[in-house]
Amino acid sequence: MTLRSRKLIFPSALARREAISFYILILPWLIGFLVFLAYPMLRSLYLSFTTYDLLSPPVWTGLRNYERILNDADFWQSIRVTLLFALGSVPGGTIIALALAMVLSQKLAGVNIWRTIFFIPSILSSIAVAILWLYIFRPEGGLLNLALGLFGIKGPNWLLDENWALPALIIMSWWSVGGQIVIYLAGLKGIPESLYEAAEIDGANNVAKFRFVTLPMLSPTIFFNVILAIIGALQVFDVGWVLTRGGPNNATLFYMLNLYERAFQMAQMGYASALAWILFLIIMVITLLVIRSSAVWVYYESEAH
Amino acid sequence: MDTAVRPTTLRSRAATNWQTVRTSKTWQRGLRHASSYIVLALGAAFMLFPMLWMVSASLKPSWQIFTDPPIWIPQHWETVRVGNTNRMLSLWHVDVEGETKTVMEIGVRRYTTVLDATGLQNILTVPTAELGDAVTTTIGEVTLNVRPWTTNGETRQVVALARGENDTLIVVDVNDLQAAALRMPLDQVNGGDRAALEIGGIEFRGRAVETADGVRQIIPIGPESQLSVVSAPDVAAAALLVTVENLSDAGFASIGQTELPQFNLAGQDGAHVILVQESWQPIINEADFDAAAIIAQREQLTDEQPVVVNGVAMQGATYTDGTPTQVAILIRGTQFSVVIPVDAADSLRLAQLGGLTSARGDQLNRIPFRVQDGFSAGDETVSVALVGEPREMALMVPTAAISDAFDVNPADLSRAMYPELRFDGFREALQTKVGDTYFPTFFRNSFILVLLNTIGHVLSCVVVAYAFARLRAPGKNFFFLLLLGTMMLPYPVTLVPVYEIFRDMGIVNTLWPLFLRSFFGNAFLIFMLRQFFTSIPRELEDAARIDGANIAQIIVKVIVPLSKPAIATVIIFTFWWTWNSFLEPFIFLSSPDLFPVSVGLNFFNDQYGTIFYDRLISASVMSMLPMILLFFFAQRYFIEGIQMTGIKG
Repeated sequence: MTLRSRKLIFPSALARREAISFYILILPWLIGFLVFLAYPMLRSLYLSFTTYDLLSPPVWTGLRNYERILNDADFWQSIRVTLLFALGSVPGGTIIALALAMVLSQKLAGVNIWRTIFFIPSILSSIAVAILWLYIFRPEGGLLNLALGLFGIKGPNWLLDENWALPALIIMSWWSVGGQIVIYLAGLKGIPESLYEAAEIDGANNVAKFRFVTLPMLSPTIFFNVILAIIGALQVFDVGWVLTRGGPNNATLFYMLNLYERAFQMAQMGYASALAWILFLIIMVITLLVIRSSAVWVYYESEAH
Repeated sequence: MDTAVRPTTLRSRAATNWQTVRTSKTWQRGLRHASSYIVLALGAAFMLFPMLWMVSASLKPSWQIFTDPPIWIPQHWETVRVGNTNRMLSLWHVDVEGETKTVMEIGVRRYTTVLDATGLQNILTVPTAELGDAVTTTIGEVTLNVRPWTTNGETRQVVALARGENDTLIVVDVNDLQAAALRMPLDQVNGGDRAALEIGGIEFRGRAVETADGVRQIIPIGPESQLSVVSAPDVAAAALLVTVENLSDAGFASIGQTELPQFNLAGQDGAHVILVQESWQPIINEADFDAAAIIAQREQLTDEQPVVVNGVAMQGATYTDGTPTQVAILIRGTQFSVVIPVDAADSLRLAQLGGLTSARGDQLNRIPFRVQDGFSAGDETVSVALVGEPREMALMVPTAAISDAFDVNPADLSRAMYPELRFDGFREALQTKVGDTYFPTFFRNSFILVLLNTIGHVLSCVVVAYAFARLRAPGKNFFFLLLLGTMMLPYPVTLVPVYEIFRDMGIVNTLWPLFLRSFFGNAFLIFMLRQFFTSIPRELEDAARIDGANIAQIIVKVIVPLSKPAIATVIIFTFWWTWNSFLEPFIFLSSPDLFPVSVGLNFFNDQYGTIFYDRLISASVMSMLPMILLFFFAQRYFIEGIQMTGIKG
C-alpha cells in the first residue's frame, strides 16, 4: 500500500536518482569487494594451477599442485590434526558454554560478574593467551600439572609430548568460549517463560524441560554458533604458531600452519593457493553437511505453525 | 521481655523452615542450585585461575613463577648487599632451639658417614645376590645406605662396608652398627692418614683421623651429605670482591661450631673466607660502546699494560691518532682492536656471567662481540656489550668478621620473604630491546592502526549501510546477499593474492596493508549498522528532506546522531579486531619498529620466552590491558555486538 502510493508520488526520475545514489554510496564496499575479495579469489584459483614464487611470473602446471598435495604426507597430517582439533574444541566448547550459560540464566547472585569473568578471556589477543598457556602447560611448575598433582596425577609434558600437544591446544581453546556463553545466555533469555510453565503443568521434570523446551528453542542459535566455531577451528593459526610451531613431530601441524609455511617461508604460492582452495572446499562441504543435518536437530518455530 | 520472646520466635521460624525444606519441590530446587554452583565453581576455576595466575606472575620475580606449590601472593625475598658490590645474597630463616634466626649462607660443608673401628662387631660376609637395593636412611644424626638381606626366609637390614672376594659383600647389621657410626666432615676424613685396619680377619682401608678426643681409627662408608654453613647477615658488609689469583690456601678456620676453608689475600692481613666464587664479566653500556668505541689498528696501540678502569682490571694501551690517548682494550682482533678512551668508559663495570647467558652476537666493522639485551641494573634495563675477558672472582670476608657460624641441613632453611608486589617486570619489559626497538613502539603502532581502521570503518560502513537500509535500487537484494555471503568467506583463499596486490603497490612492510581495506567497509559492521538504521523511523529523515537536505546531510545530521550506540559498537569491534590481529601484520611486516603489539609480543616471546619469564608475562598483561579497559568501559556494546553475531534464526 505505502509502496504503491510512494511510487505514485515519486516520478521515475526520482527513483532513478535514488538508484544512482544507492550505487554511489555502496561504491566503497563494491570496490573493496571486487579488488580485495572477488579478484583475489579468482586469482588464487588461477594460481592454484601454476607454479609461482612471487618473483618470476606464474607458470601453468595444470593439476600438478593438487596431485602433489594429495601425495603429501604433511597435507594429510594437517587435515588429520585440524579435524581432530575441530572435533575436540567445537563440541567441548559448545557443551562448556551451554552448561555455564544455563547456570548463569538462573537467578544466581552476581550474574553480571560471572558473565564478565567468563567473557574476558575471549576478548584477549590469541598471542597473549597462547603465551599464558605456554606457561600453564609447563611440565614442572605449570599450573595445569600442579592442579593435577593435587589429585595425585602426574601430568604429561603437554606441549612437547606428541600425544598430548593437540589435547593441550584443545583444552586451551575451551578457555575462550566466553563469547558463546554470552550468545547462549541471550538465547536462553529469549525462550518464553510460558513454555516452561506449560511443560511444568504437563509434569515435566528438569531433564525433560531441558530436553523438550530449552534444547529445541535454543537449537537455531546452537546451530549457527557450531557452524561459526567449525569454520574458526579449521582456520586456526595463531595458537599453533606460538605454542608448538606444528610440533612435536607434526602432532599439531594445523592446516593454516602448513599453508603459511608453503606460502611465506618456501614461497610456493601456487601450491599454497591450491591448499587454500582445498580448505575452502572442505569448509563448504562441512558447512553443508551441518546444514543438511540441521533438519534433524534444529527446531524452527515457523515449522510448528 | 526480650529474652522471653526470642526463643519462641526462633523455634517457630525453624519449624517453618523445616517444613519448607521437606516439600520435594524445594529439595529439587536446592539440588538444582547446588549442582548449578558446582558447575559454576568448576567453570570459574577453569576460567579464573589462569587469569589470577597471570596477574600474580606479572608481579613476581622470575624464580617465583614456577614454584611447587605455587606462590600466589608475590613475595619479596630479602637479600643483603655484599660489600660495596651490586651483588645481593639471599637471606634465609632457620629455627635454632625454637628461635627463628635470619641468616645468610657463607659456605657448605660436606660430611660422610664413618665407622669407628673400635666399636665394630659381628661382621658378616654375604653373597651379593642375597642383598637388595640400597636405601638411604637417616638414623639419628647419621645417614646410612641400608640394604635388605634375605637369607633362609628371614630379612635383615644391613649396611655394606666393603667388597669381599668371590662376589660377596662385607656387611654389618644396622643394629650392630649404630654405636660405631658417626658423621664426620669430609675434609677432616680426607685429612687423616691412610691406615689399613684389620677387624675380625678382614682388612679395611681406613683412616687415622685426629679429633678432639685424640686419634681415631675410622672406616669411611658414606653416603656423603652436604650441610649449609650459615652466619648472621651482617658479615656481608665486610666483603671484598677479588680475583682468585690473589688467593692462597690458609687451611681451615674453626668458626663457631663449624670449620671453613680460609685463604690469605695478597696485600691484606689476616685470613679470609669465601662467600661466593663465580665468573664475572666486564660489561659496558651499548650506548657508550656505540658512542665512544674506536677501532684501532695494531700499530696505533703502544705501551700495552694492565689498567684499572672504575675498579675493573682491563688491558690498557696508548692509542695514537694525533694526540696519544690512554685507552682500555675492549675487544681484541688480529689486525684491529676495539678500544675505548679510559675517561669515556664511565659505564664499564663487572657483572656476573650468569646474568649474561642470552647474549646475542653483534659486529663492529666485522669484529665480533656479544651484546646482552635487557640487562637489569638497579632501576635501569639496558643493552650491554660484553668486553674483555671474564674472570673468576670471589667475594671474601675476613675470618675475624664472622662471629658465629653453624651448620644447617639445607632442607631446614626457608627463604626470608614478605609479601610485596613487584612492578619491575613491567618496567624491565618496556626497557628491554626487542629487535631494534622497544615495547612502547608496538603500542604506538597498534594505536595508530586502531585509529586509522576506526576512521576507515566508520566512514565507509555508515555510508554503505545507509544505502542498504534506505535506498531502493534494482539489484539491491543481490548485492545484499553478496554482502552477507562474504561474511563467512574463509580468509586463507584470498591471502596469497592480497599479499601480491600489496607487494605490487609497494606497501609491504608498511602499515598501509593493515588499514587500507577498512576504508572499503566490512561486511559484518555494514550488516549490523544496516539493521540499526532500519529501526530508525523514516519520518525523522522526511522532515529533513523537506527542508532540502541531501543524502550526505541526512546521514550526518539525522542518522549519525541517532546511531551513537551502533557506531560505538563499530569502533569497539574495530579496536578489538585490530588490537588482536596477528597473521596479517605477521605476514605483511618485517621491520620490528612497525610491529603492532600482537606481533611484537610474539617476537618478545621468541627472544626471551625462556629467559625473562617475568617480563614476558608482564608484557602479555600490558598487551591485554587496553582490551580489558575497553571492555569495562563499553561492556554493553561488546555484549550486544557479540549477541548480534551469534543469534540468527
